[in-house]
Amino acid sequence: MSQVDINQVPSSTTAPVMSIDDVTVLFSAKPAVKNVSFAVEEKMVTSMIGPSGSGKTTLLRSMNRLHEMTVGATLTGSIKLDGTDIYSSAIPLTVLRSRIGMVFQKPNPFPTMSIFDNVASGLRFIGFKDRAFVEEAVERALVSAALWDSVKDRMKNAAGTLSGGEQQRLCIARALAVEPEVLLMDEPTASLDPIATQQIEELTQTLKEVVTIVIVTHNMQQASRVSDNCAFLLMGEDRAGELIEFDTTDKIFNNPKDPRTIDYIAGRFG
Amino acid sequence: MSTSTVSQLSSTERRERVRLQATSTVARRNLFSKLYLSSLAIALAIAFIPLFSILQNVIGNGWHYLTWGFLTQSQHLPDLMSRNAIGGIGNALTGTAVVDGVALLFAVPIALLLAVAFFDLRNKWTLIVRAAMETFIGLPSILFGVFIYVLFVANNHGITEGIYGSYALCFIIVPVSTINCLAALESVPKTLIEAGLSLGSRPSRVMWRVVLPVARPRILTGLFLAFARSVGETAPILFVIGVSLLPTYSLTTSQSTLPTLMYNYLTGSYPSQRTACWGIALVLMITVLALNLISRIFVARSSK
Ligand SMILES: Nc1ncnc2c1ncn2[C@@H]1O[C@H](COP(=O)(O)OP(=O)(O)OP(=O)(O)O)[C@@H](O)[C@H]1O
Ligand SMILES: [Mg+2]
Repeated sequence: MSQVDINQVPSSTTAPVMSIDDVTVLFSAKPAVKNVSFAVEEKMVTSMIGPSGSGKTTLLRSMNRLHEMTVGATLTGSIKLDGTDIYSSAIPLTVLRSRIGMVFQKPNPFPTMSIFDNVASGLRFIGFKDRAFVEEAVERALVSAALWDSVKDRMKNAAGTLSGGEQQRLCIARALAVEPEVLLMDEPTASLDPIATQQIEELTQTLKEVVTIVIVTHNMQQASRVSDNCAFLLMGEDRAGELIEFDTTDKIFNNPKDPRTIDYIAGRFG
Repeated sequence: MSTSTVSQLSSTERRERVRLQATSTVARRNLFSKLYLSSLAIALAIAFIPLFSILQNVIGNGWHYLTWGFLTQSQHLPDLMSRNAIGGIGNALTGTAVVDGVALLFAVPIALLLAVAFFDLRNKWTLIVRAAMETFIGLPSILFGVFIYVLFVANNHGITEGIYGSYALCFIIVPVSTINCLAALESVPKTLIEAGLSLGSRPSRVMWRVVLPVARPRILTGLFLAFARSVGETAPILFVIGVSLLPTYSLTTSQSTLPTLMYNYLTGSYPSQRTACWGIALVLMITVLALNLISRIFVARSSK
């Protein structure tokens, strides 16, 4: 793994918000990703690319401890948020998850809640009573998610009445309403049409002014368009995902060091 | 922002407030979650204590009945010469096997057909039948006994037969297993069915080749659970199968099953018969537990 270590911090360094250090995630003792290290820089978009099964989702979910939902999942190494190990008791789990939000592949608004209630749900879950604050937060989140104008007159409607792309932006708004520092997105446009996809991509560019984004994508153009840094993962011989190369997106796409990265970018496998 | 409402808190200030709230809520909820966890523990204990004391009594009082003789011999009526002779429960074991087994044979095809029909044909009529079926589950089971009695025993000069018990048990097994099988079918992802259909397959073929195989472990589980329930049923068969003192696999004679034998012993006049009920209870418990265990194995297998 020597070639990875040199590249752990790309040249355009700002402060890392999250640092992933020698992380291995095992499902029932079988490694899904192995010895991954890289830094997520503040207010940048970091993309994770790699073929199916290379552990992108697994790694992303371990970044807000969602993988713990799977029985038998264990993690070694450390993941830090602002210098604090997220697996230590220093950050309570619920606080951690409000600091590191998640947007899933398929839009998953809460089906029994209205549009407003969906966006307000995070604040309500952590016990916010201040109506004015919640209302403002909902509006801001919807504005940030570029959804405000199309839903402001039907906030009481069920979330299911929105289109797929709108539902995904609603989920982004829902995540944004608790003011996360980091937003994790797992193939957020995989189930969307090109227009909705473009809207979400544009959104990442405005959002990164306030929130650090980590995005998993199978779409190479998307990775090159939206991200500043890029991590490329690939399965090793034991089928466990490894980090092959981590660098600025520009270098990964235009001047990769590892021959496997060159092959993958050129579409020769995966 | 067209209708901007309040303050001009900066993003960082808002973030601070949310974090503060989250942290204080967590602190407050720590107490709550301790209360929650301890009430869970209490609930567990409340559920466990009666269970444990039943197990303890049945095993403690019943285990010394677990002999080959008790399991195979026919029933003995105690008499003045041998007040404590009770013989065995061979009659009830063969009776249970044949009465419940034949009921299962009748019930399984009916339940499967009904489940597939409810699954495939969603119209007014199947909905009505389905609602009726669900109501059946809630009916006191003695009603089925009365129904079968009036229909068969009363029309047969009051003669009881094992097969009538099988009929009555169908009323127990069919509704429960139909609903279980339907749930199993409905757990099959719709996209699999659509994938099958869009290959140009006939719906019946998709049902046979795709849906049923995927649902099979759950179907088997559902059938076993329904069967296990019928093995413990007393009320629906009590009046219609009569009593058989000798072990027999015949269904055209009177029969005894484990629960009916227990009923007869408990209401009988000999203390030795009453204590023998512990032995019968233990055998019944082991049988039903074994059936439940088998059904769990299907689930475990399928989730691999
Ligand atoms: N819940 C789980 N239990 C057991 N193994 C799992 C689980 N989730 C993922 N894995 C395994 O971990 C490995 C990595 O899976 P992961 O979903 O992270 O890949 P991915 O890179 O996100 O793939 P894709 O691009 O297809 O989404 C795979 O071998 C997968 O089988
Ligand atoms: Mg994935």
